[in-house]
Amino acid sequence: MTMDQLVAPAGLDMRPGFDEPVAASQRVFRALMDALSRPGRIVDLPALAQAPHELEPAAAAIGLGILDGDTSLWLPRDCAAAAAWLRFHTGCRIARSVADADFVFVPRGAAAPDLSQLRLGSDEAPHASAMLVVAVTGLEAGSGARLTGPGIDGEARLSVTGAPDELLVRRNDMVAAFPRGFELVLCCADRIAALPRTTRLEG
Amino acid sequence: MRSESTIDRRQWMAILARAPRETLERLWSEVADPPPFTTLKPAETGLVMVRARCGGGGAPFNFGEMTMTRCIVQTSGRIQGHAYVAGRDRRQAELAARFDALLQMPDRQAPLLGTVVGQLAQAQAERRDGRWADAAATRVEFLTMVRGT
Repeated sequence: MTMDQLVAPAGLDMRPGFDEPVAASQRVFRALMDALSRPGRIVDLPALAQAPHELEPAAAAIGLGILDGDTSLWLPRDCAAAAAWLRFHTGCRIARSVADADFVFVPRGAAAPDLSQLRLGSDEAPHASAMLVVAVTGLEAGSGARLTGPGIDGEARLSVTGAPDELLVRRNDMVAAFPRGFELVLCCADRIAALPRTTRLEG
Repeated sequence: MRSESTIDRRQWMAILARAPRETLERLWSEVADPPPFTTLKPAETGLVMVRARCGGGGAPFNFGEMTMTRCIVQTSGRIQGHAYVAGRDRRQAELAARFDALLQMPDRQAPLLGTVVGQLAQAQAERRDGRWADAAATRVEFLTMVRGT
């Protein structure tokens, strides 16, 4: 929490964050935990009045709730305003490359970064991996791909539209080396669904 | 001549941070035509570690933590005002941040430096001089000892 981390570029129209930062951050954490522990379940996040337009409201809320001075964030180069906003409110570091990032945000319409660089942790420290937060155009539970694994009673169905090409296929390859892997959070408006590394995704 | 050469932002922020809330409240009510503000970071209270150094030349050490409240506001003209004040008075932090923003507006700076900041600085100097005078009045001369060499 040093001063220089809070100063935004001069002349940038900085937007406020949550009206009640503490309560809202706790709700974000709880929502993310629910989504990760019940893969495929769609969870609502606290509303955010004025998120930067590059970010889905859900991704912006996750950023405000989860990032802090000890975490690093990667955003595409053309999302400087969103990066400045998250940095202003959370004090997070902006990662130079995907390989340095704890959180990788892919806004709607942005090209997915080079996923081969994404941090997957090691067998000794699988938690030293990244979380990928991706904007999609549609999320629907009850139909679509078949999800099985921990946290799912039998099977769950999740239909995802508008995800970057091949993302879900690549994801399956990358989490095959369990316990190494990464958590994927899909954001659509103010709703999210999560695919932790333990979830098997078919079809 | 720019008035910034006589007092810079760091100095007026320090003066505002030391001003009591009641005084800031009164001075704010006298501001003509205040611009609309958005609160970027609502006033929040936390701790900062105060570092110190013995005799100005020793190794720095952690002196202790103190309670502080900070606030960031923005005018409609995209000027940000920041304030870090000692204690837990959130309104004081908010008012100090608003004044900081106003003081960065070129057309308001000179008059505000003369009135608000000038008044506050004078009151603070008088209080400090008063305390020094009180302390000086109790000074005891040890005539048998050599003072300073």
